[in-house]
Amino acid sequence: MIFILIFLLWFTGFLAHEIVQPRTRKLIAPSPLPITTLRYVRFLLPGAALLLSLHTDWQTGVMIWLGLGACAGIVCALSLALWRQNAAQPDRPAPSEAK
Amino acid sequence: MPWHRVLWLLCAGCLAWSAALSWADLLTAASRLNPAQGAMAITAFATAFIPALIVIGYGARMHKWGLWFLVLLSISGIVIKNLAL
Amino acid sequence: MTKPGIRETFRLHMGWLHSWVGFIAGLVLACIFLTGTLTVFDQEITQWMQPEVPLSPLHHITPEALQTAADTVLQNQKQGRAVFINLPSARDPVLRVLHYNGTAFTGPAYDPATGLLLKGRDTEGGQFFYNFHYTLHSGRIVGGILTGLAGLFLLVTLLSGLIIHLRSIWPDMVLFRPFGPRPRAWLDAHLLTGVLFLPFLLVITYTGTIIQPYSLFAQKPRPAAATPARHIETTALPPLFPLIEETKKRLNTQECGFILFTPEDIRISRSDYSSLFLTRDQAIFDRNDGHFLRIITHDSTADRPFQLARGLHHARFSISVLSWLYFLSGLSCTILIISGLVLFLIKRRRISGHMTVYKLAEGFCILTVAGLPISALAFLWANRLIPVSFPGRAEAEVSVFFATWTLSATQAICFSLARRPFAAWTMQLITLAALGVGLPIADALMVPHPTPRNIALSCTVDIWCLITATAAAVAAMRLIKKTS
Repeated sequence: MIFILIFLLWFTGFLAHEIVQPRTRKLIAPSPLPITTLRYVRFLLPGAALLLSLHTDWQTGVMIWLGLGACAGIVCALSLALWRQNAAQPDRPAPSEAK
Repeated sequence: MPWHRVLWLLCAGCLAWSAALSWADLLTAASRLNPAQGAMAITAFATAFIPALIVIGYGARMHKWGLWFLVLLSISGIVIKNLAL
Repeated sequence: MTKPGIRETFRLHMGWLHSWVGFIAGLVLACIFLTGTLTVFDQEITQWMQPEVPLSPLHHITPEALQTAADTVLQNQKQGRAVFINLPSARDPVLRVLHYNGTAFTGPAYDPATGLLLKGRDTEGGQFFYNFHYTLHSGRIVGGILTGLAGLFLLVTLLSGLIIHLRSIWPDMVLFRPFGPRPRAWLDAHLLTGVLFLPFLLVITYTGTIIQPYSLFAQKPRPAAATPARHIETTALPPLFPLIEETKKRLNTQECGFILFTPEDIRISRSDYSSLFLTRDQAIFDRNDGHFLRIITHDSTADRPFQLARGLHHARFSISVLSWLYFLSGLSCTILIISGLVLFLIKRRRISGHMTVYKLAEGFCILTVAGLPISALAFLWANRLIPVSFPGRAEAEVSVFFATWTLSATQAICFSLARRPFAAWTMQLITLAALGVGLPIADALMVPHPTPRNIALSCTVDIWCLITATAAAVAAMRLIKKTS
């Protein structure tokens, strides 16, 4: 459970980081959270994940934090790529209509 | 493949190798390590510094400061090592 | 046109260094990283390749089981063969008596509770990938030097890559455009894996280079020369069970790893699983009566960094989540290297595509990127297809691996030289997909799995085979679509 939480914190942190970037900000209008908040969120969430990882064993905790962070980054990048692709084709007809 | 670049890279590589190893020898000789620990320390030091010095040496292709820095580091390492050890 | 500044010139030079050193070393590094990734689960691969050995939950080892193992040790020593006992652990819950066959540690397994012989097929198992990872199957000296050099080149490539992409690392940390133009998608994949797994890549490359047994830089003193060949005492060994209990007390550890036998003494070592620092501390007992002689510990401040380096690289201490993270990180770093190789070719295809050197480079790239996974799967197929009683079947499995790789290399290079590289890529990717889809079916049809843990292990391997097959099939379909 704790690993899922660490993963989600990282994932949300990466998401906030990407939303702050001008290229993505343009696609989300209006932004659900103020940009200044997101700028802090992208640092705070991975920090919270680090605290969670360290609470039992700091040696393996650091490695789990880094590993789950990297995996969360990959999942976030793939999700954003799919989301961007869908956003770029908003009026694509449903398969039944296409036929 | 432009061969002068390869030559430059080899030159930077040799200088980096000699600089890192001579200084690693010097540093480990000053500490009280047994031969096995000394060998590991030299390996650890050289593995960290050789790539960095190669990057500096090769990156200095247009600005010779990097290569002169490497030459100086290498020669000083060899001279001090021979005088001190 | 303005003259580029010092910083820009430095970046330009780094681009050449990164591309060329990265490509040449990358061909070897892809093999090292792929086999290294498999090595994270070397024991589990061995267990999958010996499906006859039941993986029951870990029982406490009994004196009777140890006595059976000790008898096997004595029998082997009578034949002049050096063997040791590998004690059961949560990952590998059987007692093994192992010897080095020149490339891998192999030997019979025993039930740790009853001492019953668990007759498994003869195989090198995951040990094959482990040895290939750091010797490239070319001996400990030549292979060690080659992998050491590859490690150094990877560090050069890493540093130059960091300098090239320094500006885009922070804003493009999770930017991936797989639906964009082809070079862009490959570059994004390269940067994404490179940036996110940078800590892992740096640590694993650095530690991997410095723990090489044959160093490039300093002659490590070898352990005192082995006792000259002479008759080894083969009188009965003292009971081993009390010695293990005493070792646990003296080394203050929960688990012991293995038991070594010399003509004079018996050495019991701390388990590699017990700490992040791989210390290999030992308790030494007299061979004749089993009385305690001394302990060998390496706990000086100077030893700690190297024990940490070994521990971090071997990752034997890890809990299963961490092992999976190591596996996924290794896989991502392999993708990083493969995407770098493909990018190198894409960028030069238009200008240099007609040159023989380019065609050869593409052939080598195909045999590394597609040929090695094909050979690894062929190795697993051979394990299921070669009869259990086939003489020298462990060597036969290895031969299948190299024969498949040779075939793949020949096809890749011939097709590339004949200006048909896409056909070579497509054929090899389809072969990979077919082998990946077929292996779970062959496994289910040919081999019964005795325990739930064996079944779970088999399912995990099957899932990874199917993932590999799917990735290869998607890549092949995209290539076919592009070329048609």
